[in-house]
Amino acid sequence: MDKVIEIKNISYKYGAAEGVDVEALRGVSLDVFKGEFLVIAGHNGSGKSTLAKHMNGLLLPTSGEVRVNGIPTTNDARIFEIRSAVGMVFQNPDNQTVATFVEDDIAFGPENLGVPREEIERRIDEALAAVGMSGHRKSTPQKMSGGQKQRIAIAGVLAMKPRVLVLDESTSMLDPRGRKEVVETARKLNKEGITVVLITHNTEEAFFADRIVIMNEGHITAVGTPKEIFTDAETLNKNRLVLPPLLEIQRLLVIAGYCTGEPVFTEAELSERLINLL
Amino acid sequence: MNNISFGQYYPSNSFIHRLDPRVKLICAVIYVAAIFFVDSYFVYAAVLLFGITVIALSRVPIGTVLKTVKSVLFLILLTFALNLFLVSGDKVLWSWKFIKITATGLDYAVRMAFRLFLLITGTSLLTLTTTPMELTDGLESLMTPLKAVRFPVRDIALIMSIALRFIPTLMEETTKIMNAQKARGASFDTGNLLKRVKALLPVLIPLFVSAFRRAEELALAMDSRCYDATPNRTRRRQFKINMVDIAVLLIFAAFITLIILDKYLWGGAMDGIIYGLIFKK
Repeated sequence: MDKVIEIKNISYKYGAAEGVDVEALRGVSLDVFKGEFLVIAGHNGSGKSTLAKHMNGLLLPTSGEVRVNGIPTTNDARIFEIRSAVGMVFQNPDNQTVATFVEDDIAFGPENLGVPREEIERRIDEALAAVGMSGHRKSTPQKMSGGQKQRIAIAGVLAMKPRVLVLDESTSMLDPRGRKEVVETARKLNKEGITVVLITHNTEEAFFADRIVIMNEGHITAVGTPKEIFTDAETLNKNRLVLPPLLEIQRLLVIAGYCTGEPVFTEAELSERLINLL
Repeated sequence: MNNISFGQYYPSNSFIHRLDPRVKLICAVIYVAAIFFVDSYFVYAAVLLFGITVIALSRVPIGTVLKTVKSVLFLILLTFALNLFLVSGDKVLWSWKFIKITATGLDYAVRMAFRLFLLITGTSLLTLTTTPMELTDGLESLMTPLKAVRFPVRDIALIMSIALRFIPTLMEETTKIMNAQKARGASFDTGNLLKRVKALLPVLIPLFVSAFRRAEELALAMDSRCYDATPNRTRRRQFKINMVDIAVLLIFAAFITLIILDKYLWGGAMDGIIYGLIFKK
């Protein structure tokens, strides 16, 4: 498979100037493959967000190397190529909109890249349609729900036509409904061909990932499919992650000897299984 | 677009609203300068009439326009009083002990107060009929020639529009912090002025801290969206001067000419002529 992002043995230290010297990343290697839905999970302070910020050159590794489409992120001359290829959406939706009106905000990226005007108008419409917000072109994010604001932020990134969409804890400030909106938007975009990297501490969002990477104390501690990760409660525990209730029930059922086999990831499937048990 | 109302903008679809913001900005600047050249009462009346016509055309209720004067009413009255009592002249109209009002003083006072009044109403008409966004876009466009001397026009315009964008966000935040402090027993509306100012400190500090955090995150988001990628940034909004804009500029130029002519050529003679006309009958 094609690698979109190659991360080779990177370390990142910050605070050297203040003399505190914190090592946020210690020898992390990871490839992001074209078209995959990758979830990077970890508790607060595990380094997952620092890793995300290396993916478009917002941070540069203290040692090691990150390449996007083969271009190292240290290449200053081509950094904007990297940033338009790897779009990033952040945690707080209020702090990433630059303009008062939706259309002006979405246009920000393509304007910066010097995209012709007619093309920008087309991209605004396409991006809004892709996140299911077509009717909101002339409205203002100020009055929207958190989930809607984040979808506008995603649209703002999509307008740059990225190959990878990185959601850097973009769901952590949202209510359950908003989280669902954002994750579902990401899944839909992934099906349409965009590579998605979702950073989260909420393991529920990893159910539908192709691959889950677990981080702890600046290391990658586990990599696997949802089935592998979610049947390994011990690893999750060691990394201070919580097994979502849906899977906790299944784990207890397995321990109690009521069922075996593959875990299921939807409530419907679980209830079907439970009914069969009765 | 009507659901956000910051600034003074009064939404309507009049032709004044639809004018090119640059035309309105230029007119406003010239107007402010020209007001200080107004000499005779005749021209004052003409400016007033002109103002009333523009207000009528803009479909902004006259009450809304007058409301903008309210905030500076004190300043106008003070100027009036100072001129009235302090300007000396030959013809004393009224006197009491050491206070006296002269004809010259009264003349000065009326002119100055009227001048301020026209200044405020005229300029507020700009902000009443133009959205803050249009104003920033207009300013950016007008400042474009400064790019030649490496003045960061684009950055300045972006700073202005981001400031506007964050006004409601920070206002919301202020309310939140104030409520949080109230819940802890803070009181913002009791005590003397000094006490009230002191009570605001626990609001301002968290507000500043959060504003800086927001700024940092915004900077990351802007970098991620390729800010400053190319000097040839696309400008989405392009202004086109149309015939109406040109007509407005011409009418305005004619009006300014009248003011200048009155001051330098006729020397305020219009008043005399009108005076004569009235009293001869």
